[in-house]
Amino acid sequence: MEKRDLVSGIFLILLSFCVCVMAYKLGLGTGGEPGAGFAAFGIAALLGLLSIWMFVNAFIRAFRQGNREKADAEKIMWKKPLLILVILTAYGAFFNFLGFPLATFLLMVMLVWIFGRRRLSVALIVSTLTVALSYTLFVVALGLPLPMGLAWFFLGG
Amino acid sequence: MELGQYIFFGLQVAFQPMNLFYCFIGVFIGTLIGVLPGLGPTGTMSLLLPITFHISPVGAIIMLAGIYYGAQYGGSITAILANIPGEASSVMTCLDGYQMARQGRAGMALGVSTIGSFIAGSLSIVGLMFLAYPLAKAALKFGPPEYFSLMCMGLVILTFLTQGSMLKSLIMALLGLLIGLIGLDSFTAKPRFTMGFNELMDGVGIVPLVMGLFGISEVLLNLEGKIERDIYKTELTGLFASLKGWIEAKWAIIRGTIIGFFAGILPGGGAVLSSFVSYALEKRFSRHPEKFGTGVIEGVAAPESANNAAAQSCLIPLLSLGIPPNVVMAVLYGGLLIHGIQPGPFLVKDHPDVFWGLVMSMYLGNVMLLVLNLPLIGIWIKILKVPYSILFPLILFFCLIGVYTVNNSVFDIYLMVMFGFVGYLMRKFDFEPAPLAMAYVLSPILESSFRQSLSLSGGSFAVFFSRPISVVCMALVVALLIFQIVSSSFTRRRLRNAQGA
Repeated sequence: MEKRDLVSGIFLILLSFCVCVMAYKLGLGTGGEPGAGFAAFGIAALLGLLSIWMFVNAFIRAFRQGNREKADAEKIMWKKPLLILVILTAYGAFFNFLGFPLATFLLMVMLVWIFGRRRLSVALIVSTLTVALSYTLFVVALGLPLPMGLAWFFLGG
Repeated sequence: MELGQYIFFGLQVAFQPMNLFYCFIGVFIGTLIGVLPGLGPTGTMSLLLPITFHISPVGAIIMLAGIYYGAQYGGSITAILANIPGEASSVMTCLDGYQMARQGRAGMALGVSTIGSFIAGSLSIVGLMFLAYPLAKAALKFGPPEYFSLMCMGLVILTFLTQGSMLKSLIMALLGLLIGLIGLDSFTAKPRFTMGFNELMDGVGIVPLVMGLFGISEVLLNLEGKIERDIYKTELTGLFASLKGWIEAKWAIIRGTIIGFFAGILPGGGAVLSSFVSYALEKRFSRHPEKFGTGVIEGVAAPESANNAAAQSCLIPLLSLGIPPNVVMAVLYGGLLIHGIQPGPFLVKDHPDVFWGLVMSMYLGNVMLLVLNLPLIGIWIKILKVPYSILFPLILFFCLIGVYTVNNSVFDIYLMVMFGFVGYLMRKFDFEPAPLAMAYVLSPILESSFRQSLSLSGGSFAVFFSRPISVVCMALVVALLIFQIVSSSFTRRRLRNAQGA
């Protein structure tokens, strides 16, 4: 726990420092006529102070505990969440190019497989159904302007 | 118009076929997400925000509110039958509800929970009707200093009530305030913290932020562990409970309603807080506190009544003062703003159709929920069996499409994914996302009332300590902060002594 507080403390101190600098550059104004950076500077300064407090507290606790509770923190499992985030970002990146139906199909195949390690046939069926139903709902019923991408190109649209 | 005329007007609005339809859709989806653990009302409401662009403001608000109070009903089904709180507000229901199911009294637990929720919800709406209107009238006299102090108080109380460290919650609230400042400054039209992205000129959208923090991060967290769903197979008989059961539950329902109603109004309060408080008080004043946790009906009736009462009464500060008391109301606040409606004292005057239509629709929504929950309970149990390997990809997909359709912008997808990652890390580092989301929503009003107050006073901060309402709020803020500092140092010292001994 202390280690995480130390890491987040350092990050927040740096963040508050950066925001303070940016807010100062925006202009603080005066008390009677506050500028665009006035409130932001105050909030960031307060954030910095609280982060320093958290950091110092965590440091003291870590110092007192020594090696006693080194194994207290559960490990963060980065692999799967990061993989999901990459897939979601890729969906955004290729959404306009591939179009809504194809991008959604590929997204669902990958997600169903990652979440459940299910057979490819199950993933394909779920993905096809999702595309068909969501197309009917969003494009046909609600008339949302979703990109058709390559599919649109091949259909000559 | 008199109150009676307003009520009649509200009924006319609520009974319009389309509004009835949206109310049904809201409570139906609410029950559904209440039954399914994983996605809460906050995520669902933000997921459906883009869809509400295509419907009338009244219909949209009726539907969004329906999701919240509907989720309170649905949450109890999972809590009682599967020992999994479908919603955070159903955690306490698990304790006695599941035990009752194991003893073959699942029907009674579900019946008392549903009918108790209906009674509590209906009574809470009456309270809302009689309190919100005069409060809105009184709030017309509020100036920028009062608004600033009131919002500060709300934020501090929220950070005080959240689980875990108050220091971390305060940090999150400050971070939320900073995120809320991104975009064009409303006074000088200068771009702030936009990093050169034109998409950020209007600020960070509420939909990518809330969906990321509450929707995506929730799914990411669920990736780590396997959620066990051991649905208790039992005959669902006695849904309307025996006379003895009702006699045992009646005072718990009444006490739960009262506690829930007031806990809902509190800044930082809501369904979760009310269910915890009512369960603790019910146990405290019970003649047989030792039986709590073994399957007593009061242990189900009190928290379920309380969370439903709170889910309706928390609309009071939002509608009458324009201050969301919790994060779900903050999303509703965002929904109202998107439709060009400013919640607050002028809402009742300028948009009586929204205010009274919503209040009256909640009566109808409660009746719909009664019908949805008792006879259709078998269907909800079947839905509970949908595998997570299909459910979670669908949630992620709906988040992606939902966020894209707000502005037809891929940038919002990136923003949501980023907030999803931030939300995931926050929970891993024991930071609560709720204060961040609420502070983000309040940030623009907080800043403008702060700057207006300073301009009015010629730069003197004494303006916040010279007006009665403002003084009371600020005094409470200071008292809470001091109390927290003193109590945490006291706890630390005691721990150190215990370790040393």
